[in-house]
Amino acid sequence: MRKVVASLALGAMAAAVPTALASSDIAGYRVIVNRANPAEHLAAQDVARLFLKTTRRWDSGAPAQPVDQTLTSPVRQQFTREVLGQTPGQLQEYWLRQTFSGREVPPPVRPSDAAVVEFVRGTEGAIGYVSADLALPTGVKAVTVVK
Amino acid sequence: MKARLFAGAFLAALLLSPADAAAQLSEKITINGYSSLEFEKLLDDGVGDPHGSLDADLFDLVLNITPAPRLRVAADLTWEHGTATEEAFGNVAIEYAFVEYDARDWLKLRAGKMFTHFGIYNEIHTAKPAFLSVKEPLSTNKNEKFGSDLRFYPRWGSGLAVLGNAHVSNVDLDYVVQLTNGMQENTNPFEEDDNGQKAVTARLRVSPTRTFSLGASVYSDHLTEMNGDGEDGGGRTSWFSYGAHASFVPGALGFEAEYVRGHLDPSRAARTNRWAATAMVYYRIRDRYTPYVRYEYLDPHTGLGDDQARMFVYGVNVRVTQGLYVKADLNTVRSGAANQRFEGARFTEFKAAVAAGF
Repeated sequence: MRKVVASLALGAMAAAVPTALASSDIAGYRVIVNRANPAEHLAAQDVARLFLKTTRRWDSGAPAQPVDQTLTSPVRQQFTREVLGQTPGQLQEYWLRQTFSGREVPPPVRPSDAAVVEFVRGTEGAIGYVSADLALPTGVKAVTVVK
Repeated sequence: MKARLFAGAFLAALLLSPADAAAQLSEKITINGYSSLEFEKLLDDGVGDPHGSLDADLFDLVLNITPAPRLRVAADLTWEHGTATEEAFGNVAIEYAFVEYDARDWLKLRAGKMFTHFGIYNEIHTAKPAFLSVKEPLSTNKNEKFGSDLRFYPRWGSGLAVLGNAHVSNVDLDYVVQLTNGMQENTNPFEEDDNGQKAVTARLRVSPTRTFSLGASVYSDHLTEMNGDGEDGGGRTSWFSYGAHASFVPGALGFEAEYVRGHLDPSRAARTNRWAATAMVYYRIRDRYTPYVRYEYLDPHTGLGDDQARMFVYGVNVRVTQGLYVKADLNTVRSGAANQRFEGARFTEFKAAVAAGF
């Protein structure tokens, strides 16, 4: 019995090694919104509330539509730690609890900076984050996050 | 030996494919869920599993459908213990199925079958990936398995709810108020009430900081007292529970505590007062390994002596990769001789689980 349990744990951990969960080493991120959004500055706490979906609307009453990058992307890991104030593990636990309790589901996920930009450009209430050095096309603008 | 090692590693590898997020069929439909395998073995004589059984604990799907911008339909469907209905094995259940209208962030209206939103754990009680230990705390959440006649509150309710989130200055809060049929013996409580008194549940959670939150919950209902023919005898048993919970996560270190108190007050018999508490401390190492220690205590009837039960839980939770968790703990139980469930037993049980959430 003990051997089976031990091998379960060992096998699982060994198979997981290639999936790095370490913190990122990227230069930074920028928070972006649709060009039609009047916001120029956002408090970090308000950005966190939008991404944790405890606030679902902009001040105007328009629905907010946060979009995430994949859990393992460096830009998401940095954004999660610095703006949401959580580790990736804590954030995942938060969403598991929200989802299974029937309260909320996580924001949709896009696989790259380009895909996030595309989503934000095409969705009026959208908010996302991308690598700091990404050139932004028309239809999308960066907002300053005030901590 | 090799075969066992291979089987274990193979099973673990099979589970190593949780998606990054919910399967999203469209912008309007998401599918989440979880699956868990559980193992329990008594290490002494006691109340539990002496055989070291492998339990295909749960397969669960959560559907969220947004047919219109303010409207959400949500359902949580569970297949428990390797369900095989032809053999009457296992259990199939709707954990919740409701419609929710989002009028404001602070005002959502819900109708359907729901979890009883009391304390920390009831609303996630089957969702193994969503909490650290193998089992949720028994003393405050499954007290009927810890020596009580009746739980502090039922798992689910069918009815209406209002809920929402608000922010006052830097303080975040959320609330829920539910009006449901309550619990009963002779009818399906999700279809038909056996008396006119509805159950009321309310919970308020306040987070003054990102690392600290407090909550308070209350549940009230009236149970129909049946006569010898199994019909409404006219009497009602007042069922009332209230509690508080707190969590504090200043960094890698985390604390969590819950206290529940209440009574059952029959119309023609003495009142039963009872209370329970749990406290847990844990430490996240590299955001992956989380050892934890939890203490649980239940006094199922404060008017009786030596009926208490207490338990220490020592364990570790490993977040193997996104959504996949392996956890194991030792549960050391001590009880008084008058405890209905354990009858003075002192024993230790090993529990482990592999759980994947997506």
